[in-house]
Amino acid sequence: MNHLLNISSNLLFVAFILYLIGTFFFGGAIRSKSKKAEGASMNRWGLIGITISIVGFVCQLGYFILRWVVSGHAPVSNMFEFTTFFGMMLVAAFIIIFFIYRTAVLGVFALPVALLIIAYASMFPREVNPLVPSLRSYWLHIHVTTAAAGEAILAISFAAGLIYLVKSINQSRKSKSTLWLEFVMYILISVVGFIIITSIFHAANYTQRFDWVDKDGVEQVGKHGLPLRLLLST
Amino acid sequence: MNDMKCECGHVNPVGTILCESCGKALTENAQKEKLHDMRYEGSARRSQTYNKTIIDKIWNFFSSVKVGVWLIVLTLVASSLGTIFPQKDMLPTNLTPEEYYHKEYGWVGQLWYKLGFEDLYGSWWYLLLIAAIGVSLVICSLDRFIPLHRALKNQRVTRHEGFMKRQRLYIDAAITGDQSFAKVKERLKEKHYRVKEEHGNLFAEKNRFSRWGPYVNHIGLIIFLIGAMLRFVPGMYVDELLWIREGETKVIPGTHEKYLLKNNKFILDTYQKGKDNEAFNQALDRVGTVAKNFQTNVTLYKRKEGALPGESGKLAKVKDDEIKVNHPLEFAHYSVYQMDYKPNELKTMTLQLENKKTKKTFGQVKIDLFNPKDVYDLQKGYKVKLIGYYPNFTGFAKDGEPQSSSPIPDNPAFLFRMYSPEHPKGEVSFVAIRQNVEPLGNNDYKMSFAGIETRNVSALTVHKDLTLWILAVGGAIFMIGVIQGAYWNHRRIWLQRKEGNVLIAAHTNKNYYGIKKELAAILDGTGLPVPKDQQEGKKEKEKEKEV
Amino acid sequence: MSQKKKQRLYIRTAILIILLAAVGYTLYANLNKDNQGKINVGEKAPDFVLKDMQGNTHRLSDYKGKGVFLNFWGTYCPPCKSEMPYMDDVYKSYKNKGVEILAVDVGEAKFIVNKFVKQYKLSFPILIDKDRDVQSVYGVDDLPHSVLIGPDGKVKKVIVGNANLTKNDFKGFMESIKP
Repeated sequence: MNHLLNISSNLLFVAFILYLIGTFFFGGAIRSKSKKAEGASMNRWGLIGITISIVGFVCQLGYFILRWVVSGHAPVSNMFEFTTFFGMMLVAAFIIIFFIYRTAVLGVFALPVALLIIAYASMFPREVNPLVPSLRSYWLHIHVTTAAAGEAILAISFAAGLIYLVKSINQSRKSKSTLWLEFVMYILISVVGFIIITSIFHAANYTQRFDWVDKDGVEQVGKHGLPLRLLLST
Repeated sequence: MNDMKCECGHVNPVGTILCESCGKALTENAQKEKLHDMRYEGSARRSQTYNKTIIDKIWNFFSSVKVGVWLIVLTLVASSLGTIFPQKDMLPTNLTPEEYYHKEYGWVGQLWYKLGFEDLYGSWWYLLLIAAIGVSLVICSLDRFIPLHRALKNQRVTRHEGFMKRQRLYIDAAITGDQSFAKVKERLKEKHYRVKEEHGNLFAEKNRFSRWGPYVNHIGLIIFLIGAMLRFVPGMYVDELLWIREGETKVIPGTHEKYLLKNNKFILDTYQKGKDNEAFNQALDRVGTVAKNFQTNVTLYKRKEGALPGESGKLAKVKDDEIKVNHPLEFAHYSVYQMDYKPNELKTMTLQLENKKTKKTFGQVKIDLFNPKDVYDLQKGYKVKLIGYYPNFTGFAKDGEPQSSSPIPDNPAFLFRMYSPEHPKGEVSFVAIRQNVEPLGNNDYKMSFAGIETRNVSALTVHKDLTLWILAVGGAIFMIGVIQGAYWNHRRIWLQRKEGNVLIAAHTNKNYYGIKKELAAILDGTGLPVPKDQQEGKKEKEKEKEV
Repeated sequence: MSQKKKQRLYIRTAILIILLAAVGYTLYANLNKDNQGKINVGEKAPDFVLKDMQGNTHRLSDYKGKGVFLNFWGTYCPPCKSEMPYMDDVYKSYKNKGVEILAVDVGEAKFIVNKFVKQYKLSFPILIDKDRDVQSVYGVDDLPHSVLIGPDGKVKKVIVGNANLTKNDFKGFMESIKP
């Protein structure tokens, strides 16, 4: 059992690395865009990029299946499992949409987002856990998976819409459109920053403990994963 | 006002902007337009002419999509307000809602409560918002669907020249010898267009059904709202909570006192390291206990005909069942689900009479915390009388009287008179958990704790929902409508020969990018020119102005 | 107005009326939803059977022709305790005038109820609703919950809580259900 679980975790890690590499290849694909006409067939960079993405996806699928075998239930039952599954669905949605529309630039956005989400997932407890009675139902398989799949596809279309806006809004002059676009980008960067910062502190096993008395006069102890002064000052 | 007869011979309803049949602009404004607004085929949707009666005014108000969107935005904002603090159904039951919001959330909570937000989703004004959305759905749909359907049904092959000129995709060119309508017709058929021919002119159309998608999904929503409304009809919807202890028989709420349930046994299983999947061991180490299964073994009873509440013994057994989480007990359209539990509620408490100096004990007293006795006889010469029992002891009143706040023995306390040979008149002692008070001076004897018995209390929810199928049907129709409208585009292409010129126009309800590509593919190699996007020309000019 | 316009007016009016009726019903039902489980004034008081502390059986329908002050109470409820002396007084004076008091304890231990009755020297019948059956029928939530039942067996008034009630109020209650 442990052996299978190790393979499963390793496959997830391999997928993670492959998505990272894939991002660079898609980056290369859009840079050499000038060589081919817009909307024409893929160039070599794009081809390698999508191949790597597919291999990564298959690895993550392997992680998913093995984990299912080890735990005896669909691995979407806690925050870690669900978030990695969501990341996987993101990649799957991207692959499907890539084959329909052949837009390499989408990969530059979709893959890093999937990466970040898997990184964020790794901050939650990762042990294989037993199902509480309320989750022991076929709905776990139906509802949770379809919700993640649907959200992932919507997320990819969000990325596509955002890329369109970046391309088509006239950036040379300040306007309502540019302001709102900046607002959206700010939020996105904040989220990315949040994930990166919490990942770093989590990797360093940081905790801060503080004591306080609540409004009912009861003494409370709190633990936090980020230095509060850092939070308050941002 | 009379119906408008077009020069092509077709009679249009009053208020029509473009002739339903040939598309000629019937109003001055339409004739002045560079590009027609094709959203409803120029049909008579909004009739400003009869804005006279109050009925028309109300109708026109609700037929506005702007109004509909505002209603949705308002409902969204209102819904979010109800999530700031827990709704009143979710509060713990020991305080009234008014007290709770004030105590827990201060003046903000108090204000929130005063505004009536503690039952927001059941409040009259919220329901009125939802109802207004429903009304808007009905009227918007009727107001648009009927004219649109008419127009699309009455359209003919040879369109008026003005109509063609004012389509977004349009081109005209001189007729040349190498143009082949026949080839175009073939290509159109290959692309699954339905092609009609009249006087050598072509009209190709496909996917008209997708125009009805939005109206189908509106029908789905309306059915859904009807289902939700029906929940208010008595008997259609029941959602109650039943707490029942092991051994108790209680009326099932929501069944009009007809059905009763007896809790025979409550079982709680937890995951065990060594017995269950060893992959879970790490998680169990970190978290502790995780429930694996909990269930209530019950017997369902039906009250016999003519039996009255309070009359015991007039029950007919219906069946036994084991209610597990996600596996309810089902009977007569009701479902009883295992929801929660309170383990180890006190059932009995055993104390022993003890001489404080010698530490010798003189017998045990087992007190049923739900039905204690007056007197407990021990061995010869020893007796304990219960003079006071306080199931949920909360403290002493000003006059010294012990207080109890409920009949549930969560914190039992007793006032004993202990009789022994040395004290024939008895000694008085007050005993509570971790508290021993001797009100009349020091006693020689005391009642010391010897043990407890507990039992489990099970929480079951009682559900009855005769509206569920309506909601499901409404939801399904909604999805069908969404798919119908979203995944296909209604495309039309007109080809005409007129006075030495060939005119080509095209229209689609969405995705002009797609139809342009298709047109290019269809006309490729046919000698005919590809229609230009008249809107893009305008847009480019505007962009130039900006920079 | 032309024929077509008239037709349109009729159709629109009809549709709006249907919609209004649906909305109206929903609002009406919503306003009443809190009363759904309760027994309302004018309805027939549901019959029930309970035993008193002496073991005698009391059936509500046996009291037809007499007024019944049906009171749900508990020893842990301070307002119930404060109203008991008033109830005892009016019970004594109205017993001969054909008005009964039935006090239903919400299912406490006999020991506790006995002690209470002795302490307050109550003379009217005390019934214990052990299984909470009768409370369920009458939709009793907050205590004290009193139901005034007329000699015809119909509910005349429902009083929940007794924040501002005086002894005269109780007299008035008994008076109102006198046969």
